Amino acid sequence: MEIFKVENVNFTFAESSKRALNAVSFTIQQGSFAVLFGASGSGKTTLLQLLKRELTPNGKRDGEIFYKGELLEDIDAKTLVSEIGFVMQKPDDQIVMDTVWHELAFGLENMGLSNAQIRKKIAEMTSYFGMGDWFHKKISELSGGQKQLLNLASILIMQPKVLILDEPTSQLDPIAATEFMQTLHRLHEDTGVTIILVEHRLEDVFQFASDIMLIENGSIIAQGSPRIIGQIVKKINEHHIMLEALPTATRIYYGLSTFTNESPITIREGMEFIGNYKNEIQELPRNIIEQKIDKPILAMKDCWFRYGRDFPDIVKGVSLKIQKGEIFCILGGNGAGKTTLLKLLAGQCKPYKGYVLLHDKKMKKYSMEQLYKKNIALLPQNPKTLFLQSTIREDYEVTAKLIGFDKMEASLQIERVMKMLHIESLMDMHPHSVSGGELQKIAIGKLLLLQPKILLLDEPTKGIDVFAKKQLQQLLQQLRAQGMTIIIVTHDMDFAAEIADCCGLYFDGEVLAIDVPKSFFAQNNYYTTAANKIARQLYPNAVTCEDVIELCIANGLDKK
Amino acid sequence: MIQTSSNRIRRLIIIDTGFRGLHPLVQLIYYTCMAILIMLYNHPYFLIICCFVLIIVNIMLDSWVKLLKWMKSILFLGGGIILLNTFLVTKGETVLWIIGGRAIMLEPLLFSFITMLMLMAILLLFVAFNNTLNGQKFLYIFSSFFQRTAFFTMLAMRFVPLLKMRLHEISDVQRVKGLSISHGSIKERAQSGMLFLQVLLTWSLTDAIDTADAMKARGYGTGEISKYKPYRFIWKHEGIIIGTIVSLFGICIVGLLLGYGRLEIYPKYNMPPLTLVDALLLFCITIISAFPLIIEGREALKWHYLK
Repeated sequence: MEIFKVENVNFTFAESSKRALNAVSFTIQQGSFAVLFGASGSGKTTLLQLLKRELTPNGKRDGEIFYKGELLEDIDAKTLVSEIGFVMQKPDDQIVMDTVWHELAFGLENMGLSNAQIRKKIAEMTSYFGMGDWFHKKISELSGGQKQLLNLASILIMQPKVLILDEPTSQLDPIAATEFMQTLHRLHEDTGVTIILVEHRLEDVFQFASDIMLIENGSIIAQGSPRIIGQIVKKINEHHIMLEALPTATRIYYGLSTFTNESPITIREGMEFIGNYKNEIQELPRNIIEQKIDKPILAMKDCWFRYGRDFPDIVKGVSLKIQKGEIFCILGGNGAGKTTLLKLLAGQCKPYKGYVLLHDKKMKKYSMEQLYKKNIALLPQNPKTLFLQSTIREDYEVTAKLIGFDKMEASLQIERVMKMLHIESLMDMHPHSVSGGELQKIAIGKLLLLQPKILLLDEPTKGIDVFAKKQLQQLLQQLRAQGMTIIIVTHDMDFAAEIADCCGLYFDGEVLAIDVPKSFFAQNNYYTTAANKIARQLYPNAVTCEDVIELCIANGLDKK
Repeated sequence: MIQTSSNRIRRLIIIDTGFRGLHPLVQLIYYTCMAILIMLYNHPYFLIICCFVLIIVNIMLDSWVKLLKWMKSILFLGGGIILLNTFLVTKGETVLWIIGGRAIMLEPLLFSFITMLMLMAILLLFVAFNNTLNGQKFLYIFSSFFQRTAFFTMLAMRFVPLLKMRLHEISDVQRVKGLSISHGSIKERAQSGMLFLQVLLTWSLTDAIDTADAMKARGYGTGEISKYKPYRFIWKHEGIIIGTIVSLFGICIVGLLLGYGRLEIYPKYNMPPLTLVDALLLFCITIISAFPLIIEGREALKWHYLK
């Protein structure tokens, strides 16, 4: 049975002239698991919001949306509220009450259920999700993953028939994201609820999905099952940027030739597929970069740090050397203290033992001003906190004044930064009203005005799509070519593998295993890129998707 | 020593049944009655017994650590009051000593001593209150009567820790650029503070729109709102407890009105001998203040005999 049918829908926002959605038509079968992906700004969120009447933005809509055969606007509010559930992107934005149990009861209270009924449903939900441990906690004590799980639970407790999720894992770390996806899959298998999901991280989701749709500029340009969607996209454009969003196994498959069979979508299937190739050439010759002279621009010597006398040590005797002009990536689990490490490197926190050397001089000998003017700049996890004025242009002008540029010099510098980042169109907007990828660009722009020699980035790839990631990559490589030293703290192993000159693993207060990405990832069994996991039997040193594709082409098929 | 006996008691008691597991309304009635009695009764015997029993209650509730922190300051304060009062006030008629031309009277000494006892008792009650009837439970009681106000208070309570954390993030990031609320001239600090609050406001308002949407998406405002009662109120069980407390309270109040339980200090100290009625009232007040102990004791006995 068709649970959702969208026929020729166009949508324009209230104060805009450009169409956000263009002739969108698709159907969703009951019990299916549909995944929607596309670049940011392509209209994914708008489309999802149109399916949930309470969240539909103001604007003009043509075309028809049918829910279970009836027009969406004809159905009564109560049914819609309980039958269609919506999980948003940011965990904190959805939570209303201050304790877990009350949050679960909120939706049911609104529906007017009796006390006994509410009690029964809460008991049921808590048991199913295994929330018994943190059921009595306050919201402020929960982690991001737990909050998002709570959001899911408080929607599910109303027993929806359709579950719509808008990038639910983008703000979570990889472990919490994987757990969330597993929970979603288990839910789908156990209850047959229809799931409509928008995601950037397709690696985990493809194996569970039944339908995939690619949306671009407000129209759905490709639709199909997970195993053939790559083909469909390739037919549109051989080198479509969104092909990079597909899971690694699928990318390798399509990168190798124009296969017309079904593609592998999991790592294991990828391994089986790679097994078809010969094993003769294990490593392609690469121009070996001369070992740089050991003249570190930033160094930590045996630093220890904690937030207070009664708190545990976060950084335990870390010694680190970062060379000038290199991109250094610090990887590691969530909550390990990587942000604290970055703050120590930036001089924002002071270690109680050991010291940090900047340009061979101890960090504490620099004044705050000397540090942030033309020296070090730190991009925080939440770039919104950087902006204090009401338009981006004003903020840039204030920053330029802070640095000490006169009016002429200031406008020149601002022009330069604008050109480098392609943000001319955003300059008169409010910093909080731009999308995730754009926010990051304008934040980096603001930091570039300070003309830093060292740029520190805290989780720059959180929640941004493949296209923005590529742009970020190109930008960072451009900056490195200009001589800037870049230190990145990230979970994103694929990004680190592509861009880093040197990687380190942060664990239990120490930085271990500092090495070039090739050796770093090749030596790890579990904490490594998907491409490495797929190819390690045959080509142990292949770290990125491109490496694997090249090696396979060089080796040729194994005609067994 | 207190730690081990507290642990021993803990092992006998299951924390969420017993006193802590009672319906918040019952707990509130206990605390209110106790507070009123402490403030009205002014005979030192009563107050000393109250204090003693409340200390035991606090040990049982495991809040004696917090108590110790407060005790130091209260004893200091109390001692100060006693000294000041005794040396400065010259009303009263019974003279104890004469020091350097000043007559030290008994009345002010006694009065300040009783005041200190009263303060201590209220403090002990307050620490126990803080421990058992926390903000949520308290709000829950009032949500039955003032539903909308309670709801908005709960919403506010959700946002307070969130906004605090956000403000912390903002000031952390801005400190690097020299904008701080702890360094600089008063004018600079005020300006920085205002800028931070502005960003916090914009950020929180835009996110709050999403929260409002999420509330609407879960049906807020589409119909009658029922109320989820996480605490059970069984008339047989809770009713008896309320009845007992209220009747004991009544007896104590009647005794007060009849003139017992209060000590006349000014103009002249007059300690009448204890009568039978006094003894009865003393007994009642002991029972009321020891209520939490009785409830817990009963639970402990039950478990002991079940084995």
